[in-house]
Amino acid sequence: MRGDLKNAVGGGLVMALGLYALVSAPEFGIGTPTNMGAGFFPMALGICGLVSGAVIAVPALFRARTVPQFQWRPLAAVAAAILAFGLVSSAFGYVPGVAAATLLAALGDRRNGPGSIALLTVAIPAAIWLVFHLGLQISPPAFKGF
Amino acid sequence: MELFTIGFPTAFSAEALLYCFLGVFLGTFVGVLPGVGSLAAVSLLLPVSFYLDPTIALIMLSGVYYGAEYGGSTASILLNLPGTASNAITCLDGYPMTKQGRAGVALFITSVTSFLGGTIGILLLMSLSGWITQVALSFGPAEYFAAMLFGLLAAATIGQGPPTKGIAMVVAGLLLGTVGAEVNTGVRRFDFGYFELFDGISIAIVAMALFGVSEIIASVNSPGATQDRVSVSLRSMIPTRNDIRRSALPVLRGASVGSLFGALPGTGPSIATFMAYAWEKRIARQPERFGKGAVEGIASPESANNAAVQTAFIPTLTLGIPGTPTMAIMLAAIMVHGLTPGPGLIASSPELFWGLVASFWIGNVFLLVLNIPLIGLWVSILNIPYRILYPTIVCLICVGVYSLNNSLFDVWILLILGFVGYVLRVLDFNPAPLLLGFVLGPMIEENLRRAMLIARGDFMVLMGRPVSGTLLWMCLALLVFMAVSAWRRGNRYGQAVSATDE
Repeated sequence: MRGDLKNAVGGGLVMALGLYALVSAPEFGIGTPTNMGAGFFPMALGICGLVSGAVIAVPALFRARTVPQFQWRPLAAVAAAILAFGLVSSAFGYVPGVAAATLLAALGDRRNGPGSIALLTVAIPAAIWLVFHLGLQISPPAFKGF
Repeated sequence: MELFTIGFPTAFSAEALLYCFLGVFLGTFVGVLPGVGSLAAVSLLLPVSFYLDPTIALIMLSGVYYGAEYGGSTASILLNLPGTASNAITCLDGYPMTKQGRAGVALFITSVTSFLGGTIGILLLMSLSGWITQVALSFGPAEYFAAMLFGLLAAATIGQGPPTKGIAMVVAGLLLGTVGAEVNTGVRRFDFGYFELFDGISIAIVAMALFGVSEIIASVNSPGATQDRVSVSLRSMIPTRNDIRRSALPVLRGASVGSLFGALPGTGPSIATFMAYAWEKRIARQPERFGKGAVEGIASPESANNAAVQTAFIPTLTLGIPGTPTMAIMLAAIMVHGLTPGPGLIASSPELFWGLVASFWIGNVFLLVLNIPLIGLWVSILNIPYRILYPTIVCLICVGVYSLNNSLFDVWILLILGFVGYVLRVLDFNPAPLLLGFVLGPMIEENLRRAMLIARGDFMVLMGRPVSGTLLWMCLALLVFMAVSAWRRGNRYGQAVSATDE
């Protein structure tokens, strides 16, 4: 594909967001300028989104090629870590959740060997338990279901 | 006067002193870490502040803020890796000084100039706030709408990156802010049926996702993570008489630039440091010394940085309008405790304002006094490889978000927005205007609605009033300026500098 893809995709996403807002606005009730309904502001913003997105995306299609560079490994690692945190914490408490998250997050950097990962998976949950359970006494349970 | 009758007694309580120190210490610590900026630091500690008295909460969060800005300069000088975006300028002359063996002097000078810049900023905060509050008390919804709109447009057009992208991000942020039940009619907008979204998305999650998570993903595997070990001794920190002589005026110039840009909405420490450096270089007798370890090149930006951090509180505390995302978090902290930001805040809660101002003095002294002996600690932290640090930060963010409402839903929001934030970064879109739009959105809508109701649907009435009219014309001027620049330079503003913002 030709064109400045970074800006084309970015502008396109903003346009899509604006379009969605514009389409959804009427169901909230638009009202009049004097008596604005809940949909008035989203409608106005939707239009702004379409315009500002277009201003970015359209010229971009004619410019020099740029391609967005994703770092897949860190992205996958961190996303998996947060996902794992959520799933494990809901079942077993946040300390096991942190252990799962640490394991997956650490895999994001190629330089982390099994030794480092193992060490982190033990050390970080322990530190988190100290700070958040003993220290700050936050409300979610540290361990549950055992 | 109130500073001494109300401010210092509040700030000198044991609890206040403890949290001020804690904030400054944690802030410097986090500021030293690459990949986590002052905004992420303040957002991370926002949940902790919920359990504290509002004045203490703000004292701590502010300490984190200016501590992080200072800590970032340490990383810039020693490793050429800015800890926060506004410290990027300090790398230019700070790192060469390290290579010349003058790291200690550089660190000492930045400590002292930060302190002096901060002092000047605080003095301005104290003297101008009363006057601005008086003016602001006559503000009606039209004026608030115009002021907030101007602040948003300024943030979008003057900040990093091309203005068109900034505006697109502001619009996206405003839309994100509409999620939840609308205040007047109770109509639920964009919540996809999830009752958890009734009150909208929590700002702490948005901030941590857009700035924390995405920054980490972008920083892992980056080449800067391998570094030579640096050590700094106390004796090596003493500057020469020449250094002191050369730094004196730059400190004042930097502080003036910093105070101005800090107080203006939309600009903050980043722009201030850049402008201060540019000014020094332009008026220097030997500009070729810059970039090779010129002391003026760190004295002025650091003074500007700290002055900007202090004066950023002026619009936030007097008008209730945050100029930067970090100030938006401060506002959130104020609102969470049930206080209403705006011109009435100083009058209704004088112990909050004056206690905070007094704590700035104390905190800046802490920064100065502590960071000189503690330099060894910060240096050893910088020697920890990033690949070990970042899983810790990811876990901190996860637990912090989870503990906000004991809700798993928030973690999923973190995941989604974190992914979105990373996509924005990869596409070179700066997320800072998005956060500002998100925070100001509900207030802008509310004020616009009221203003239009009063004006009976006639927008021209808003243009006719003196204050709101002037501001709205300035908004128009900004848009025209943006269109003209874009036309002339073909939208080529160069790469957006790293997207962490204040």
